[in-house]
Amino acid sequence: MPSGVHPAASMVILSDRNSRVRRSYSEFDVAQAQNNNWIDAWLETQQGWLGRWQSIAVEQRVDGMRVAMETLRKYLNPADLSPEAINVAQSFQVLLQSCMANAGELGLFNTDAASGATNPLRQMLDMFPVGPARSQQLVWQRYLKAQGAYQLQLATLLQAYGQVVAASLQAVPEQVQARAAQGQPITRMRELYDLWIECGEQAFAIQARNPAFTAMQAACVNALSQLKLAQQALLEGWLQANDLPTRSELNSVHLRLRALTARVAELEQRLAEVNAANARPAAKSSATRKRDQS
Amino acid sequence: MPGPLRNRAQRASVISHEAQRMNDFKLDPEWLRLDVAQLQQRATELLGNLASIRSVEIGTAPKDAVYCEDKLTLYRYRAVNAASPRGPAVLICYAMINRPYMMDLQPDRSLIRRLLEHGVDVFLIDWGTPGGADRFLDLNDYVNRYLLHCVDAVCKLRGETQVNLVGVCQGGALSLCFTSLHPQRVRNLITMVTPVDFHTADDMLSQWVRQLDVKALVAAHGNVPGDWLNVGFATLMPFRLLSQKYMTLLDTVGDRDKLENFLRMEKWIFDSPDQPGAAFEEFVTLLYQQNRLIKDELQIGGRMVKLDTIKQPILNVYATEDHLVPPAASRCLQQYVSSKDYAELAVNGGHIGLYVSGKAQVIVPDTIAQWLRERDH
Repeated sequence: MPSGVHPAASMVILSDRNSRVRRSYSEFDVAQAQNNNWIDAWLETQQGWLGRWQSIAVEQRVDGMRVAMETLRKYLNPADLSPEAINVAQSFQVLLQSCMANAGELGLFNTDAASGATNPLRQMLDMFPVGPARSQQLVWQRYLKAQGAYQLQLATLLQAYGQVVAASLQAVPEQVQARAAQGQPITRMRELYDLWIECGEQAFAIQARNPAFTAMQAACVNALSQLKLAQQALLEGWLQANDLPTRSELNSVHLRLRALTARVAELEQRLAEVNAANARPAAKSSATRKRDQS
Repeated sequence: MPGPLRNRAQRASVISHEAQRMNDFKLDPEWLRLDVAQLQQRATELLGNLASIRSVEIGTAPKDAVYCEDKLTLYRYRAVNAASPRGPAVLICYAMINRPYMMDLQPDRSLIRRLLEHGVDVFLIDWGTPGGADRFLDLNDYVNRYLLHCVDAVCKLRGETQVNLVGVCQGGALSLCFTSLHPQRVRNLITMVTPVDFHTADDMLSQWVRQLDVKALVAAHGNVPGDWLNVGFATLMPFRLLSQKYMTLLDTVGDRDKLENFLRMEKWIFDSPDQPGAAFEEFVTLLYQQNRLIKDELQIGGRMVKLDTIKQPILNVYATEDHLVPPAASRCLQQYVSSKDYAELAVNGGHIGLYVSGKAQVIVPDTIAQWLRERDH
């Protein structure tokens, strides 16, 4: 087995190094050959470009680039796939398989730095985005991380609630025994149910006052808030792309309206004060005239 | 948890012990059969009863809208005896959480009707249902604009310059803020199940929200959904409120009035308006998380709220078994205000029992009416 290749790797066209498969059209059925035609055509095109860059590299005497170009041309030769190229393809397949296998595990979003660092899906989500779609990649990364974090918190919280229920059920027989000892045995189903309720509330009261539970609960709510914010970011992107109104836009309108309303109220207040001030001298002079006349 | 029982003797011992414990259940098989049969019969009958009740009426005491602003409506209840002159007036500032018709749930459970029978002129603020455009309303809007304008409206109608302010729960906290900021507008202050110190040891709700990222919550939701708050309150006592409460429905079979009473409460308890984002964020952050009210660090509209500036006569009503606003959170008001006329009324029961329990129906409004008569001059 070639080094670096996962034992579980199972690419159809590959076997172990000792019986390396030389890709030729006679080895594939017609359908696959037809499918491979466009791959080969693309590879030949890339070979053409690499050839041109190689010429430039030779002309410019950039030896390092020339060597790199030569290596790439050798790897991507459709007539003779090198073991190195096969290894690259196999490694990529293994990476994909690992990601798919780990996707369902809660440990995926562990805060444990060690496990997080080796988890391939986690690594992908932490990858620095590049390219024209990097902003979209950032939004998706944020959403997927938030989704996983929320699921983890929710599962933890539900586990805590499960412990409460278990504790309540464990307490019931003890309470039944105590009641019997006091000469008040449980005789009806309703009494048993009410007793379970009492046990449940007592068990919950202990859990609810536990700082760890409080923190867990808050963490779950906070994770849900982050998930919703991430969802909103995705939605905003889609709405903006389709020139549709977004929450951000509406909020800015609301804030402007609010500022305008406050300004109008302020002006009305000042106007009222000015009017009141003007009315006072007028009333005063009117009173003075009446006094003079009398 | 004990490890697996490998030893046969150990297993037998446990089985024997469990069997002994099971014997402590004196469940007669015949009684068991009857219980199950009765449960099935009641459940079937209950479903039929629920299907026959289309709606229940709540808040039926006649009232008129006397002032409106944005989503807010100020109501004035009609006097029981229109011919009699109006007695002292009260302006009820209810919480933004839940609807104010709790105070007039049904004719025989109505604190408002009882006050009206005493001749009190009752005004009530209904904050309305915030929409998306209201998400930026903050405490300044509620205290220095809406509440102030309602006070103005009441004074104008009554030909007075001051009101008797009644604050309920969160509305009580707002009323304290208002009284501190506008002392000349409040003659007497009544607080009901009002949180003052948000960090008392037995305040579980406060402990739960202490680590909440309120900013993110409000950013994610805009207005905080009422349903979300309902779930939060229900989880304070999950077994009772999410299970046992509905088992007691079976006890209403054969008593339509009892069933309708239950359904009125049920309607009210889940009729929660969304909370305006900014006001919610301020209330939870500044009061619940930072407890600024008692520290004289709460600023509303650029002005500092100081409880020690409150000199008005105060009647502080609290419930002895309140799990939402523990008595200690409410009773501490006395040590923070400067009022020389401070009285307390302790009512046996829970947060909501203050309004719906039979005894509270008489004690609370009678006390309020008497207390006001002695001071409204």
